[in-house]
Formats: sequence, structure tokens, C-alpha cells
Amino acid sequence: MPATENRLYARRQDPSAEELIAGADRTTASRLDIVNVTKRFRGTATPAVESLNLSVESGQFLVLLGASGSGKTTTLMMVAGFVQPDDGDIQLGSRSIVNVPPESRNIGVVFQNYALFPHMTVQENVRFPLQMRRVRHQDADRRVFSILEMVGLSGMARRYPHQLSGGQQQRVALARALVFRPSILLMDEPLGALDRQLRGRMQQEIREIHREVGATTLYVTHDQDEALTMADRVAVLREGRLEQMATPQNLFDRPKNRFVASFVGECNFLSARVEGNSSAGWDVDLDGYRGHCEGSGPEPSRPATLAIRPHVLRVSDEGHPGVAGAVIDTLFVGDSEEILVRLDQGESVTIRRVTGEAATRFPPGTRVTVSWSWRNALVL
Amino acid sequence: MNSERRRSIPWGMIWLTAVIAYLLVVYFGPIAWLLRYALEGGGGSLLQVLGSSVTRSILVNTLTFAAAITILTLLFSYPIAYFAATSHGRTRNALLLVSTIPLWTSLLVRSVAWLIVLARHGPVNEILLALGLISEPLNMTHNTVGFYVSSLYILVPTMVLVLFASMRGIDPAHVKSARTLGAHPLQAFLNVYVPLSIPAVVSGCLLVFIIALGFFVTPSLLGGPSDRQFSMLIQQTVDRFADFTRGAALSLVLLICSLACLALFGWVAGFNQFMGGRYRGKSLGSLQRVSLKLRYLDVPLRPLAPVLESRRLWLIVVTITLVFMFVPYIVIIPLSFSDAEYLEFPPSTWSLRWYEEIAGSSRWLTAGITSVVVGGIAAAIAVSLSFVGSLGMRDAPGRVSRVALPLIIAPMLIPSIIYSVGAFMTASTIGLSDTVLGIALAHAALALPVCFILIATAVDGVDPAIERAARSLGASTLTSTRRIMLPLVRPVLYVAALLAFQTSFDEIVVALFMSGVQTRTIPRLMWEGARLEVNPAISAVAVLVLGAILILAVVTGIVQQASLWRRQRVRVEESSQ
Repeated sequence: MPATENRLYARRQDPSAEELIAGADRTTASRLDIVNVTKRFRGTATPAVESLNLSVESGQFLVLLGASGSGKTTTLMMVAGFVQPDDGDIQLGSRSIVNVPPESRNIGVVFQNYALFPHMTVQENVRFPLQMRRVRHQDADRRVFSILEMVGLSGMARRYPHQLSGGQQQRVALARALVFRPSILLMDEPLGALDRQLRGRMQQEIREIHREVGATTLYVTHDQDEALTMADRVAVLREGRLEQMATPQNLFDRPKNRFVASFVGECNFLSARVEGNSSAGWDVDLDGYRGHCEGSGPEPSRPATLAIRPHVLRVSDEGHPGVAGAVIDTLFVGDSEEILVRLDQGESVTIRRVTGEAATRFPPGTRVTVSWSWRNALVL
Repeated sequence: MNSERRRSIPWGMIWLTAVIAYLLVVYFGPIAWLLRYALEGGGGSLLQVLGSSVTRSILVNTLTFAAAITILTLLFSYPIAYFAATSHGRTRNALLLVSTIPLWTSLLVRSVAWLIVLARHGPVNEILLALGLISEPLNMTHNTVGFYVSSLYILVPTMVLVLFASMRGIDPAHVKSARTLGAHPLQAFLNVYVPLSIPAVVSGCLLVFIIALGFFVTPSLLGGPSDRQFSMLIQQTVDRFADFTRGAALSLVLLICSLACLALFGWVAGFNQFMGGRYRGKSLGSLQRVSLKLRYLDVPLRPLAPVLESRRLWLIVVTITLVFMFVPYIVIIPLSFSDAEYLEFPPSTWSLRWYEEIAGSSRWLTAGITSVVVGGIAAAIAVSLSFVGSLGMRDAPGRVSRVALPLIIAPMLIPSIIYSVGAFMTASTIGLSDTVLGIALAHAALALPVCFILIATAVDGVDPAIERAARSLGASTLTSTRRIMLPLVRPVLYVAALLAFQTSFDEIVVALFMSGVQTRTIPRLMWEGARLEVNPAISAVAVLVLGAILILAVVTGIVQQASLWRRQRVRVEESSQ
């Protein structure tokens, strides 16, 4: 390139691009705020997203978890700028971006099926955002090389997307979304198309890359295991509304309601009676088996629901303290087994225990007692 | 705070509007201009036209012909489409390629070829005489035989394509499960396959009927006095008697017939199907129920079942049909190398004299240049409009595309004679008649539907996420169109350009009216030649036209492959490292 043209390029660079090059290894991560956003698609009865409030701290990895149709992808597309919210505001680094076109938002997006440009090589794909930002050639080369190095694809630079495996395409998409140091990274079910084993490896890899670059990340998935594994915080969406936002641990141990409890991990629900509340908890009675446990807002002397995870339940011979019932069946699930018990009060529960740990076997029809540690139960 | 949301520039709508505007000005404008004459003075001319017994009998003639040829075409096409749909890989491709080969040649060349094949001293008569089956040559041109044979030849490819497109979607498991439930192959076919193919049959028949209604070139060249078609009546009224008012009234009658069929088509099959969309299936349920009655054919046909069920029999039928598709090529190519003054097949002496004659004729050379220039301009306009229009159509809301799609496809389905007369009159008024630009603009409108269908299907096939990705990476709408969409659909653009060029290069009806002293296109000269005298010279021109299109097709194919080769080379280089 002639020198004059080079200068022209340099002059045309906007300050943000200049800044990007200068701090090649520094992150420009920003905080994302979704404020009271509503989106209703024409011809649908219920809004896709309703009065959603969500914040992602700078550098945080937030997973949006929900079933299909819960509004998680709509939310992502609103942040990316492809869907215009009807109401509310979206702020990036406390600046509103609702009226900013997608190409000016400086947001990296990894699409569900990667959306790699099929007519460009890996290198050209990754270089594309830098070209759009008029980054100087040498700088662009260096950054493309180093990001491909980071995702372990430096040998594949001249391949076309169709010559790569699913996992490799995934890495290219990630590299392309990160190479221009976006203020925030959005990922839309990025591992959905991969097989189970590869998915596990990619989960770890994405976590590592996130730690390395420290980008604020909004990650959409319907897979609760993936959400728990990867997230700093998880936001559970249902029918366009936020059900609960918490750390994975809290979400699992302290689900706010029955929906979250059953959506994140398996859970048994038993009808119980709340006797009264004492210091930081509730006195609960279930068919004569009493205890003290935490929970959210049931009314005393009224029927309530007791939520207990299968691995918390214990099964023992008849006569021990607990709730009596009869074994229906035992299912072998590899490293653990699930015992199905019908309680005498009418409800059924699933108990999970590690295979081979307990010598006693319970053939169908055996009378047993089911008990649990009240500390790990929750009243809803 | 968000009372006013800024909207980005709606490029899609702007582009779509541009395409519609082009058609309104260049296509629908002239038609309206023409029809204005028909309604002058309270539509007296219209009543006069409808009162004429000659007009009425020709209208009945036209409708009868269209109905008859539609049924014949269906009978010929169904077996081919069925075989193509139920076979795989190479067999399927070969069947489709051969049965649609006529589509790659102009209507004019095809008609002229049949004129030669069926001529009094043409190959068919020669063969029959040599075999001793007849003692005197049969008259097969300028009568109903020639007209029907060549019409059939021209319409079969369209029908095969429509039938195949839908039959391909019939799950073979349906027929298999009928078999496991105790049906004979014949029963399974009649009870399951035929009813499932009814939507395709209906839309194919309507389409062929609409095309047949507007037939002009074939009946003019091959038909006899009893085969006069409505289009010919219009042309004679305008061209020979210069009676525009009456011509306009006649055009209006034909237009109403065509629009009625089009409306029926839109209602039954939906215009979406041109875009590879699904059938809307409206009212087809009852038709399918009626078609189930065909199962009673099973009883009378049962004794013949072993014959009917033998794949070999049908292979023979299909082979004969496919040979029929090749006949014109087998004949006109050798004929053009004949040394004789008159038709002689096979030629007794060979020479290049006819080619030399054409090459030495300034008339043909000038016409060749005119045709190429006109075709080039028309292709450029049609392809660019189709590309931007496709982008607009993709983003347009449903109610907009429901209106826009029929408008864009109309030039393919409305009889071209109506448009030609209108275009001629409009162009004369503004001084564009008999100019390269005038003809090119008109040809671009005629080529637009095919280009649009091709390109819009390709554009729809591009994952929207790819463009979104480009936007999220910092590309503006225009940049993403230029850097991402354009390269991705470029191979299709080449094919569309080729088809548009071919449409213009072969077009005769508009050329008949619009080209005159200044600008004669090749089809125009061929038409004059074919009307005057059928001799080997005309077959030489036909072969040249065929060759030109073929060379272009090959070039297009190579250009199209080039990008793929580039990718392959990369792979080879890497694997050799």
C-alpha cells in the first residue's frame, strides 16, 4: 500500500479503534443494564419479553437460562440491536444503546450456528471486523494471529469454514467475536450443535478464554447443566419474565419457586403443612414427620410445598423416623441409582443414591421409610 | 424517554419499490395505455368485438386448444416426472436434464426446428417414405398436426418441472406403507401416490393452460387456418389493419381470460410456489378426495397390472418421450451443414455454404450485434433489479410481498402479445420504438420474473444470521450486502444473467412490433426467413443461436466453478504440505 494511502487510513481511524490497538491485551469490558424492557411481536398474544430488568457487571459471565420461547434469544437480539424493544432501555457502560445501529454497538456475537462467512477463509472471517474498523494491516495481522493462537487454530488460518469440524468452527466464531475487543460478548446457544463430549470440552475452553480476556459475557442456553457449569450468575427466564437471578450454587440450593426448582436440577415436591415460623425458618409437618427448614413466604397453618432434591433423600428399612411408603422400582443410572417410592400419604418421590454405597437392596413392594436432613429441604 | 425510536434507513423497502416502479412504468404502463383505447367511447369497441362471430369462434378455438394441449402435456409429463421423483442421483439428473433441454433453446428456434422436421420434404416424411409406410408425403405443417406436436414439445418441460418439484416431496414411505397394508403396486399408486400429487397436477395444468392461451409464435409458424389463435388475431388487427381500437379491445378480452386463470392459480396454488414455497392447499382437499375415485380404475386395470407394473414398460415410454425431446436437435444440426438448396435429410453432400452465406451477410451481422447489445442491457437491468428486489422482498412484511410477488411474476404469465402491442404504441409515442434502448427496456421486464425467482430463492437460502453476524462485527447494511450477500449469491447472478440474456436474445413478439428498420434482432430476421421459405439457411441460424447460448452457458458454468476451484486449491495445497 502506498504511503499516502496509509496515512489516509491512519487519519480515518476513529479514536476507539486506535485505543483498541494500543491495548491489545487490555479489556474494554463494560457493564450491561437491561432496564424494564418489553418486546411484543405483532400477532402474538403474550409479550416475548415483559418488563425485564437485568444487569451484567463488568467482566461477569451471565447465563440466560430458559426453555424455548422463554424470550432469551429475543433478549439477546435486543442487546445486539437486531430487535427493537417496544419499551424500556438498554445501557452499555451506562450509555443507552437502543438507538444505536448494530454495527456501531461494538458488541461481539457468537450465533447459534456460528454464521461464519462461507466464502471467506478463517483468517478473512476473523479479520472482517478489523477491516470494518479500518485497523491498519500490520496490526490486524498481528491481532488475527494472536487470537487464532489463543483458540488453538493458528494452523487453520487459510481453511474455509466448511473444511473445519464443528468444534473448530465454534472456535473461529469465538475468535471473530473477540478479535475487535468488544465491550460485551453475546453467545446464543453456541454449543447446541456439538455432541456431548465436545460440548463439555468447549465449556471449559470458553470459561478459560473468558478468564483470559475478561469480557462481559451474556450467554444464552436451555441446558441447565451448561448454565450451572459456566455461569458466574444465572438468570432464569420464563414466558418473557425473569424468574430468578442468582449464582449457580444459590440457584440450585435456594430456588425461589417451584418452576425454578424443577427447571434447574430435578426436584421432589411434597405437600406439607407449615406450623409456624421461628428464627430464620419454618416449622414444617409432613404426615407426622416434623422439622425446621428455610423457605420463602408460606403462610402458617396452610398447605405448603416442600421441595427436596433426590440426592438429599435417604431411604431405610421400615420403622426409622421419616415418612413410610413402598418401593415401586429401582432404576440404574450408571454411577447412581434412582429409587421410586410411593409414600403412604399418596405422593411419589425419587431418591438418588450412589451405586454400591449401600448394600441393602429394595426390591419392588418393600416397605421403607424415607427421610431427609431438614437443612437441605426448602419450603415454597 | 423512548417516545421516538430512530429507525434505520429501510433499504429493503426502497429497493422493492424501485423494482415495482420499473414494472409499473415499463410493463404495466404500456398495457394500461393500450387498454385505454379499448374503453374509449364507453367501450363500444369491446361490445363490437364480442359481437363478432369470427372473434367468438377464435376465442373458443383458443380455449379448446389450451384445454386439449394441457391434458396432452400432462399425460406426457407425468411419467417422466414420476420417474425423476422416484429415482436418485444420476438417473434423476439425467431425466431432468434431458426433459428440460428444450428450455435452453428459444421458442422460435424450437418452432422453426419442428417446421423443418415435419416439412413436406423433411426427415419424418423421408423416413416414412423410405419405410414404405406412405406413398406420398404427408402434410404436417401449417395444419393441426404440426401445431399440436410442436406445442406439446414446447410445453412438456414446464409441466415436468412443476410436477417434479412437488413430487420430490412425496415421502416414499407412504407408498411403502400402503404396500404393507395389502395394496398391489397399482393400488398403492392409485390410492396414495396419485392423490398426493394432485396439488402439483393442478398447478402444473393451470400454468400450462395460461401459457397456451397466449401462444403466438408456434401457431403462426406451424398452425393451419383452423388453428388461428387469439394472439394471432390481435397481431393481425394491429399489424395488418392498423386498427388499434379493435386490437386494444381484443387484448382486453385475452387479458381478462388470462387474469381469471391467474387468479384461480393464485387461489389454488399460491404464487409462493414459484419461490419454492409450500402449497397453501386451499380447496385441494376436495380435489384430492375426487382423485381418490381413480382407485376404481384398479378393477378394470387389474388384468393389465403385470404390464402396467413393469418398470421396463414405463422406461420404454419415458425413453420415447425423451427421444422426442431430442428430435429437433438431431435434425437441424446436420441439416445446417447441407450443400443443397432445399431441405434434404440426411443431406447427400456436406458444406459450410449456409454458414458462409450468413457470415457474409451484413444483414445477419448487424442483427447479431443488435441482439447482443440488447440482450446485454436487458440482462444487466433484470439482474440488478432482481437482486435488490430480492433483498427487499425478504425483509418485506407478508402483506407487502403478497402484493409484490404476483406483480413481479406477471410478465411471465400475461400473454406477451398484449404487452408487445402496448409497448409498441407507448414507445412510438415517446420515440423509443425501433431503438436499442426501447427493446432492451421491454426485454428486461420480460426477463425479470425468471431472474427474480432464481435470485430471490438464493437470497432466501442465505442464513439471516450470517448478515446479522456481519452487522454485529461492524458492517453497515450496505457493506454487509456488498461484502457478504453479493459474493454468496454471485454464482446464481451469473445464471440469472445468462437466462435473461437468452430470454432477450430469443425474444420475437416484442421484437416483431418494436424492431423495424433501424434495429433488427436475430429472431426478427429468423421470423421473416421462416415465414418466407424454409431452407437450410434458417437451420444454420438456429444452430448458431443454439451454439451462442451453449457457449455462454459453458462460460457461465466455468465462472461459477472458479470460486469453488479456488477453495479446492487451498485444500490441495494444505494437504500436500
